[in-house]
Amino acid sequence: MFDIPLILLFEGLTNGAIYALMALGLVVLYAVTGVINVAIGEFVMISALTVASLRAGAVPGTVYLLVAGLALWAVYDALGALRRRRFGRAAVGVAWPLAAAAAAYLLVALASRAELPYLAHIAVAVALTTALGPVSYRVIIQPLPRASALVYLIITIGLHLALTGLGLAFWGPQPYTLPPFTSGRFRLGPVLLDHQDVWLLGLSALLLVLLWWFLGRTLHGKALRAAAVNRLGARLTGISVVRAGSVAFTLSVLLAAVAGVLITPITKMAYDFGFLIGLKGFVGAIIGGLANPAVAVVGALFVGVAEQFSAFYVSSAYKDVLVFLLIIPVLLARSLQHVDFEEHVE
Amino acid sequence: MRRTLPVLLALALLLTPAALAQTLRIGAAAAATGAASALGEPEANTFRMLQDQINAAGGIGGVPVEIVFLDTASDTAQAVTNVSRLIQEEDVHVVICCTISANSLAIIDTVQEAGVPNISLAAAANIIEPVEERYWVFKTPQTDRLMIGGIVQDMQRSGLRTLAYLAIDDAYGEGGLTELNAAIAGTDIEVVAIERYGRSDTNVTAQVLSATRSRPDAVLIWGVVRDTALVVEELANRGYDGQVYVSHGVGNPSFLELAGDAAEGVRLPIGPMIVVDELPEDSEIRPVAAAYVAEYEALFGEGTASTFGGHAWDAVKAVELALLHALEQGELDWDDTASVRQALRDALEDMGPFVGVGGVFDFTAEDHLGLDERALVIVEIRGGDWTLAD
Repeated sequence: MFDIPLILLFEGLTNGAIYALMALGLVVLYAVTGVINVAIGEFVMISALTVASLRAGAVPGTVYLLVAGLALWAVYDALGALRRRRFGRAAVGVAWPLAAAAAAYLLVALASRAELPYLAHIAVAVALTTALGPVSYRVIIQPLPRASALVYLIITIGLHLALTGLGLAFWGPQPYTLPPFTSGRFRLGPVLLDHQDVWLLGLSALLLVLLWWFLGRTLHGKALRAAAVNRLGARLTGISVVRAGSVAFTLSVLLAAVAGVLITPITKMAYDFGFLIGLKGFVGAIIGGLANPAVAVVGALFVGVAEQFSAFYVSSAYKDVLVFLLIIPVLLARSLQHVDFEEHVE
Repeated sequence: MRRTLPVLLALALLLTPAALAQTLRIGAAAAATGAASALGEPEANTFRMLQDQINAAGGIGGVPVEIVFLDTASDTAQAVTNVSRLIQEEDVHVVICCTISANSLAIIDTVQEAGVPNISLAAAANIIEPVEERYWVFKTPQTDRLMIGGIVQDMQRSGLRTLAYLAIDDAYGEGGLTELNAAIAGTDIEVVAIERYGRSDTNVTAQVLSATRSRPDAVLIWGVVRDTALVVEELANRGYDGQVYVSHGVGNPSFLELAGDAAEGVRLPIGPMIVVDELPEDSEIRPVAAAYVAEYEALFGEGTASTFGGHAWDAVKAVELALLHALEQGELDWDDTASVRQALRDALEDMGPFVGVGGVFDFTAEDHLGLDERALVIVEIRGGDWTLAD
């Protein structure tokens, strides 16, 4: 009798967990920097397809992207230092991103050659994708400090288009799949659980808890929150707003990268596949008013579950419509409450 | 006077392409990138291969061929823009467009108004029907109608009565449903469930549960590669033990890889090319298809040939034969593009049957596809490969 609702609930939570990782990254990033990262889903795709490349023994295109980004970083730093006629600084500014680029390339080239275990490939891919976080921030966000949310939105739309295109160039149009972390399944009441589902739910939950701990209990995390609440105040107390922005961007990319390797064994992945995942995470983030991480996580889980139930009980043809319709009452309620998002961060 | 000179120059420039005498210009637009690129890429490759082959052999009846290729990126607006560009700027004699049904339907008005023959590489029957409103439009892939007819026959042979239909939520899925309803009329087969999913859905559990609620004898999945693989896996996970049919849209090696063990026993209707080695010796399609596979794989790698490239081959072959037929009828006035377009269109209808990679074609004034049941076989996936079903 309750078999089907239970199965639907469980499948919804599995999807919702991925959306929750997206939503959380979006909320943290928006709170700290005012950036809505439209390209968040692309990092899901990049980490998953990077693993696929590494497993095939190829050097993933991701590393060239990282090297190019770091080279730009070097150019920016050097120009900035030269303008202020600090030549020593310029040399250092050029040296370290280039050294990092060389190191990343060597590491990945070696990783793709060596017969590494699956988990090592995953670790390399997640690290490589996450490294794109600070690089993206330095190259596309930091040069425009204090821009409006709209400007940032347009910049990240550009990033989304660029990364989708590069994904196509690197990996081609065909979908890829990854093996589950451990294969096998067991039964829990009416619900048939794949090991990968358990990994997905468990690791997502672990990440959420770690992030909560980081933001709530560590000095760096508190600095992030301070920067989110009041930039000027944070700067006056010696917190680097730039660094806080970079850390927030990196965190959100890390969450996306982990989501990518968790979900691909279940759903498969292609170059144009990240956007919709990001979008559904965004719906969750909106439910949290783009400000409250806890509500955003609950909202994202709700999106996942609502998707399943509406597909089964209402109509599978209008599933996505129903999910995106959710935004309207939420926004309506929020606008009636007159919540100012910027001020409302705890 | 000062103003007329640049205008005249511009006019002269515009007219130059038309003055390039005695070259057959084929405008090809396919989805080399985007959602349907798994289909469009082999098509693009085939165009490149054929242009080189034909010109190396001295052209068609001495007329060299130029295939102008534009990427539609699987996007409808892009397809329309590209076809307009091919017709107006490149001044092509024939258009071959598009990879997917939605795009092919969208460009019909463009080619009808411009009076340019178009050969579509997409499945839907309404691309060429009603034929009165599709004077300029032909196509080479088997229609959904032909394919679904094959499935219904196979179900009857196996004594399967109830069917659940799971489809992608676009024109392809809807078209399939229309054809399915038409095909089962008058049979004892009943559709007991209809479910839809999105092209990039991450989870289809709800649809699979709903479709298999009443334990149908068979499930038909009408989608493309990744989504179908996802549904097939989910059916296996839920312990569904009936016959699973999928559409010819997955006739691509990457489907076997993605669906893995879950695809064992899955059946699909598909062009005969995919099991070319298993076709009977007396099949007229066998030598043509075998030659195409060998030529394609020599250029692009072992195991890369797909039926989609075959559709492109058939389209170019049709144009080639139409030109030969038109040349037999009389001289073509190469300076008058419109007359060449008209002559080619008429030749397509008049030239009579020919054997292609995808079947035996016979375009007529009533049928702009002209395929019969020789254009499909039912294959079953066994041991991770396509095998002719018995």
